[in-house]
Amino acid sequence: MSLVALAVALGIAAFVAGCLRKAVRALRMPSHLRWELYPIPAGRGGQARTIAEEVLTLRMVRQRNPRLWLPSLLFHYGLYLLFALGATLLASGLLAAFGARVPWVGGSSVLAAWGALGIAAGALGALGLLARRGLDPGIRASSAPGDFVNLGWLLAIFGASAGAWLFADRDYGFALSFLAAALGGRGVPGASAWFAAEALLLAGFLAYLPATHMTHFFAKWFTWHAVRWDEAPLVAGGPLETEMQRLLARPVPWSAPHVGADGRKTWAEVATGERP
Amino acid sequence: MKVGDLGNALRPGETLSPLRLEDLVPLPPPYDAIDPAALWKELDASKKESTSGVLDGVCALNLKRPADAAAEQRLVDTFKAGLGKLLSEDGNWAFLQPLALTLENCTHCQTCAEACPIFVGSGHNEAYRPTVRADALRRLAARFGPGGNRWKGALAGDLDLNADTILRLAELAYRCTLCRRCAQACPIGVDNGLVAHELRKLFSMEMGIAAAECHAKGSELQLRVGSTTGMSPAVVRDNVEFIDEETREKTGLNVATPFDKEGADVLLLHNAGEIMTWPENPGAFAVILEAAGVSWTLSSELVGYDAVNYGLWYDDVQFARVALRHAEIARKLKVKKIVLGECGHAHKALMVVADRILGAGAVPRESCLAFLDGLVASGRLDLDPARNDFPVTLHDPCNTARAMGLVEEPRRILRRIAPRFREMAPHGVENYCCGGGSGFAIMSPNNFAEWRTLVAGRLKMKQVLDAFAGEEPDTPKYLCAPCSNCKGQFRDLFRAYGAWERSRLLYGGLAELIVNAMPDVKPGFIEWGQQ
Repeated sequence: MSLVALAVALGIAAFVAGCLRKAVRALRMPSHLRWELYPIPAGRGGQARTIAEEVLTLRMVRQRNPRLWLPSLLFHYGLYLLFALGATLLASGLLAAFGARVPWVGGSSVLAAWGALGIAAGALGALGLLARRGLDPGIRASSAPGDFVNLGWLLAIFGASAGAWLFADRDYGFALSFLAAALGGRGVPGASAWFAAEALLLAGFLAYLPATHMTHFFAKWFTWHAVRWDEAPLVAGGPLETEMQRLLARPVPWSAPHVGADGRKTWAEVATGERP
Repeated sequence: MKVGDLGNALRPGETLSPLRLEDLVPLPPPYDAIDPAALWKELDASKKESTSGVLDGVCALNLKRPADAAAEQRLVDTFKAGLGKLLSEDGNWAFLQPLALTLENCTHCQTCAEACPIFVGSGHNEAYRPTVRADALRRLAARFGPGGNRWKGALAGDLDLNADTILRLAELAYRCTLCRRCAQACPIGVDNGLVAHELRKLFSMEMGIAAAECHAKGSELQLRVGSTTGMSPAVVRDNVEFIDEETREKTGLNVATPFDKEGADVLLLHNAGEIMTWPENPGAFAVILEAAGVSWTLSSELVGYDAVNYGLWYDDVQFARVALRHAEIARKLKVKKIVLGECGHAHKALMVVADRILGAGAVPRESCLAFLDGLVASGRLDLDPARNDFPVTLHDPCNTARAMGLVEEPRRILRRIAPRFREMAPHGVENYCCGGGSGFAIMSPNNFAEWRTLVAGRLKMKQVLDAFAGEEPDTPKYLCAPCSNCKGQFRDLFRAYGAWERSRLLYGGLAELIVNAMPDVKPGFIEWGQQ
């Protein structure tokens, strides 16, 4: 396996593992006290519609931060398109690795247009976001170095992808043969410099992403469903009751004198016992 | 001012992010002629230097700078210990998941900024940007929190951890009313308002730092004496007896408030501030409940006659102590349900946040807004809307609207009893905080009261005035504010801006407006005049 194929494999593995680790950690966090925020859409259907509208139209940004909306929309749609393209290529590569024909890749103008659209939207969006981050005093003042690293890195990926599209692999035929060979355990074909740059930058970024706020693509499920819209009351004999009993029996570690904790007293004891 | 500046030393006399009175959101005429400087009080210069007042020239906490390097190191070490506990399961299981998600997923897009009434009302003072205190905590957690390191710290952004940072962060935690309008605006679901709450907890539960009005004169007093007003059980009985007499005289109805009636259908839990400061509100409730034939009672048990729970704003332990006490009193009285009086934070405390720690067998709790809505809809009250023929608008308390979704209930009542009711813009779950939320309405140290009326409540004041635009200045107007803390803030806002003299503006509760519409009551339950 070539270095590029190895890097891509490791990048994808690190991305999946990192995201899983973060998601499992969020899932395993103790039940919190109710902290819901209205409006809460009615039923699962209403909640799904609200989330879908948010993901597809960035409604809140459009309404409350209109100057950021267009670059943000372009950026996100670029990512949606390229993610879908990557998933299609990966699935196609897997099929091809096992000898299936994948006529939709290689020589397809649809895929070429798809890629071009994704790269253009993503790059324009990233440039717009970078410009707003640099020029808007409020956003600039609150930006962390990591915010610039994220956008800069993505811009570099879009640049390398544009180079690969323009000079090496417009119809993604090479990408398919590369993936099919790698997934089939055969020797991968020699990659162009553009393709190698694109793949290495992407692999590194995938490994890095779980350490950033960009995990909001799945964390949003928790922030909305598990906090903002979680108005489930305590029910006798229900799992929440058991969980609360477990948590109230945990020791209180806080040290201020009025808390009256000694490292052993539980939350239930501190809340109901004699105050110091 | 940037987040990283919070730890910077300043030259003598310098303020990190000074308040600029000329930038405040303008008010409509004739209030535009009021010079904000006439309502402002500069912080004493010596205090500015010796306390945490160097953030914005305002001082809520009176924290003293450490005397020497060793004391500063102790302060830093205690803060670090608290940070670890705040991000641990044992220390903060109650809010760990929302806090961790908030710290990890903010993209710094600033969509929340324009949602904050304090940031906007101040004319965009950078210290009040909703992300500032949250980003400060993000940076400190990335560097010093569990799993934190230099690399994470570098990506999150620099922020020195020293006495300046800690003192300013403590003050910053008291520049947010916890109204959570920023959280509502966040497309990701990040809750930067929660961070102010969590910072207050760290300071209180680990470092013993809290606003005196919330802690020493607040929840501690309530747990010791029975009420944050200082009223003992005997005093509260005397005061309510006096209110009954006044109400009988005023209404011509025979009203007697029952105490400790075992097995009553309703245990009414007022904010005791109503009994002390706005006696017409408990009086109005008594009239309504008697007229509707409700079996009800007040409690004279310690803590049982004061619905407030200031721990909600700054300390989980104090919060749990008061909430469990309320639930226990109701259980012992064998009442069928608790009805929370017109107090927003008490609603959120006992009905929402405490819900999962009270146990499944706890006595049910209901909002007075829903309860009164039910009584009005049932036809058990004779009501004549013509008696309320004056302009009325409604202030939605953040804790009943945004945190509980109680939006239609008060409106159904107002549409029935107030023919000249009109909405503010925005309203309902998108309302602006009055500026007195999270304890601010009871806090007035140094120049904090002036800051609260000039900055925190500025946008609300504008909103109220806009709601009555077009009405003659000498037409009496009623701002219905069904929340004690909101009323406390409106009292100070209206006084500072001369709202009665300039616009004949009066604030009051919802129950008073209902009683004012009852034909059996002598006319004029609502008394117009300088409050």
